[in-house]
Amino acid sequence: MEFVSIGYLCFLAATVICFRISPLHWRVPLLLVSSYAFYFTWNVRMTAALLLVTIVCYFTALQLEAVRGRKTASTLTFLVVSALIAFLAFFKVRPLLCKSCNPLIPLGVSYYTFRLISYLVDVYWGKQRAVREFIPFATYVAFFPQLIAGPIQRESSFLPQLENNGNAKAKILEGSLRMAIGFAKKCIVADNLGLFVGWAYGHLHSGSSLPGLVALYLYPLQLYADFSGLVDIAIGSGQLFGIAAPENFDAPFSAKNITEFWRRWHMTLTSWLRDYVFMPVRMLTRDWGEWGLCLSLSINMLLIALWHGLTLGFVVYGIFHSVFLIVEVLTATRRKKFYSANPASEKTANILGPLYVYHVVAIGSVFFRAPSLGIVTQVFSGLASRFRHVGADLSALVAPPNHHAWIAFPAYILITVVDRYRRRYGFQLPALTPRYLRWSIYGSVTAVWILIGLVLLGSEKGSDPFVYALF
Amino acid sequence: MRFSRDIAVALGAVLLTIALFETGLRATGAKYESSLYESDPVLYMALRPGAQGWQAKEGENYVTINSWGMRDGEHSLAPAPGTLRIALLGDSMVAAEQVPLEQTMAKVLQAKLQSQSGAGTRSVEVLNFGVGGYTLAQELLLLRTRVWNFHPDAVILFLSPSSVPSCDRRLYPANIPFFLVRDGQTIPDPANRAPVASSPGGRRWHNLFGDLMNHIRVFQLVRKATQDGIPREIAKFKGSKRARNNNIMEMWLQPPSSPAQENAWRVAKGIIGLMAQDSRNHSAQFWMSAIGPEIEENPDPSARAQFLRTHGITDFDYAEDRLRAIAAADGIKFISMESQLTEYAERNHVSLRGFFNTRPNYGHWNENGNAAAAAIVAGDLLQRGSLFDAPIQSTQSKVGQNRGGS
Repeated sequence: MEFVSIGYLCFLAATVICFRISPLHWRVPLLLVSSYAFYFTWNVRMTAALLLVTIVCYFTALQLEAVRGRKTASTLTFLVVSALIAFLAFFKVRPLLCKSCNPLIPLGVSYYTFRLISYLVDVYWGKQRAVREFIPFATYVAFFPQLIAGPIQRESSFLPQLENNGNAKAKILEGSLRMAIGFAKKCIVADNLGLFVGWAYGHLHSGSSLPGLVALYLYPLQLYADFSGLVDIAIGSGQLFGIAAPENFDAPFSAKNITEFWRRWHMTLTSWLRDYVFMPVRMLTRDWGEWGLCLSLSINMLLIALWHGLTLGFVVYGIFHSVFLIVEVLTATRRKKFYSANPASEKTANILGPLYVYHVVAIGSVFFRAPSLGIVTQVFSGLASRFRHVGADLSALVAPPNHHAWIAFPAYILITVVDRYRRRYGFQLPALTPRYLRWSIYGSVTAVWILIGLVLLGSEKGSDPFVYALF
Repeated sequence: MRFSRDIAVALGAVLLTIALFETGLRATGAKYESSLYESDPVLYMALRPGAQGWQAKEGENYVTINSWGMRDGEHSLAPAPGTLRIALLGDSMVAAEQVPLEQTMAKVLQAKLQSQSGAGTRSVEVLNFGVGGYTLAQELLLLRTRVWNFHPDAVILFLSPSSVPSCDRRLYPANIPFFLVRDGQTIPDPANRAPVASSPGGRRWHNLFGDLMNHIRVFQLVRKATQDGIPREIAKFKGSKRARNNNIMEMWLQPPSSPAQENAWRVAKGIIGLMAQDSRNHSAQFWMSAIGPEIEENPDPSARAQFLRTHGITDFDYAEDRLRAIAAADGIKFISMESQLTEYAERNHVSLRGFFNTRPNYGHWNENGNAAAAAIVAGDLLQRGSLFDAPIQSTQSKVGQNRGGS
């Protein structure tokens, strides 16, 4: 069941209605059953695997608490966490070892494995008490809106919300609007930009710079719209059940440097890696001074890259970003001094920062998107071509089926404005909103969802798969 | 009072939302099938005069139906003096709603005949009577009720793989007219249940609603979702595939294997005979051609060979050979088109079918297919036909014949 499908909308609507009319003590079991039903539609065998790892981690955590402070605790944590990493690594390595196997990792494995690892480590560190009740714990692991691609929510923020879901009603409007934004990002922006980028990668030999430029500059926007759209749908779906999730993006292209970019992009993964990889490695290397910091950053960045896939392209992607992060960290003090002496330079740097970030991210994204390093070379060498055949290339770029794809640009601007409003003010109606306004808003939102449902029903092809659902 | 005001404001907001959604659909280029048809007490279903709207299933094309209910430009009933008129009969392949009017086989054929016939001052007019979904029986009824009103000098019937199976109710279950062969006579099936003729007022309302639907995307979307989307999702949920009529391909490629298939061929022969007879009665030449399945025109020989192997046959010629034999027996001139189309596609490495939003070599003819078909038909008409040698009869005399005809 894809997120952008009429099947998902019907499933979600049915689950929300059942959730709302259920007595409070039935709500969590209902969420668990619906989450497993959702996962079951994707992969029957992996549903059994999900249940198995959930049971193992549930009992491991209880055991960890019982033996806290003893050596057994660290051994047990090490064993189970290693097994979880091996479980995830198996699916990542499998395409390299077995050419005939499905190259795609089963849906959601990454995300629930991350959740389970952080839970076990937190229990081991004593930051979190082991959950006594199995059903809320299993619901946390399998919560269907977050199963496909996160965000990676920690148990400490998720479980208390399950216990107190009286606010669910107040979040219906917010959730549905957030989902609508996600649908728009995916279907109008990402899929249309994907047409241009797909065209660019198919025409790298055209002899003009246009395909290279399109591939370079449009893919970061496509990726952002695709991934943040997916997360918007996930967060919005969760809000319908009264579950607030952490944000995964915070206007990443407005960052002034790459360090800031990584604090605004895929935030739940980067914070997860910061807590469970970077900080422990940094503690181990704290005596090595700046070299230790560089090593910790590189390991962290390389893990982020390799999580996407075990290919040379992702390795280069990781190294490329590491270099910028290291340079920025090493020059931070000097830059600060320079800016305090030259305030005008800081202003200029702040203005030019997003431009610098976009270019670095765009160059890195070529390694992310291109299927091989050979294609990467073609993209960059294409940029060096002259603007020959540009007229013909432009006509080909906007020819069917791309002839309406330009809509992605105004739609991106509009959605960015709406998203900025949402981040600043939220979508919740003030308590004293007049009745006619409330009814107008509820009626309009209902109409929008009926129309989106009709669009999905009327669409023969459906939407392209989400990029991040494949990781 | 306040309650009513609040409801009215909310309704206004919903309407505004729908209007904004309509704008969004237009801006994103979303297009849905238009309502171009109306029910007809004789033909059961016909193109609605004056209807216009998008065809977006294969390619994207804005289709306009003329005031006579044809996928064509406007024509007067009586031809201009000295004009040679050719009427094309067929289904969606002839209607060619997927391409602009000027690129349809009819229009390209007209241009080719005009330029190549050396007719000098004599002008050539090709009338497109193709209607999507039409069966042989409907084409006969169309010929009798509408085509002769235009006094054509020649009629060309294009058969497609569904033409023969649709001659037997058991093979083609649909509410369409059927014919029977009884005591050697081809007669309308008494079991036919034609739709009741609409009152003028009802027809006006239907047309108005159809026009409104063709201009408002949200309405088209509702229709598309309910007619296509919901059955598709139900089938997906049940894990079943949409029903496909296997008789169509089977009967085109292989001899009949059941009494129903035998009967379909018998009825098809009878209907073709009636059309030929009608044409003789109206002093018009009657020509015939066959359009094969899409695979036959695939430019890739290995794809064609693979298809033949899978179906356990050696060639695609069964139906065409049989139709040619029927034509020969009735003195009808037959245009062998498919082998030439295949050769053209293979030689030029072009897809004659398929559009940017479909698989290549799939579905209806694209502009290449229409142009290639028109070239073949024009070539045959010019080489074999006496059409351009014979003096054109005066409209007056033809009108007289029409009155006394069929």
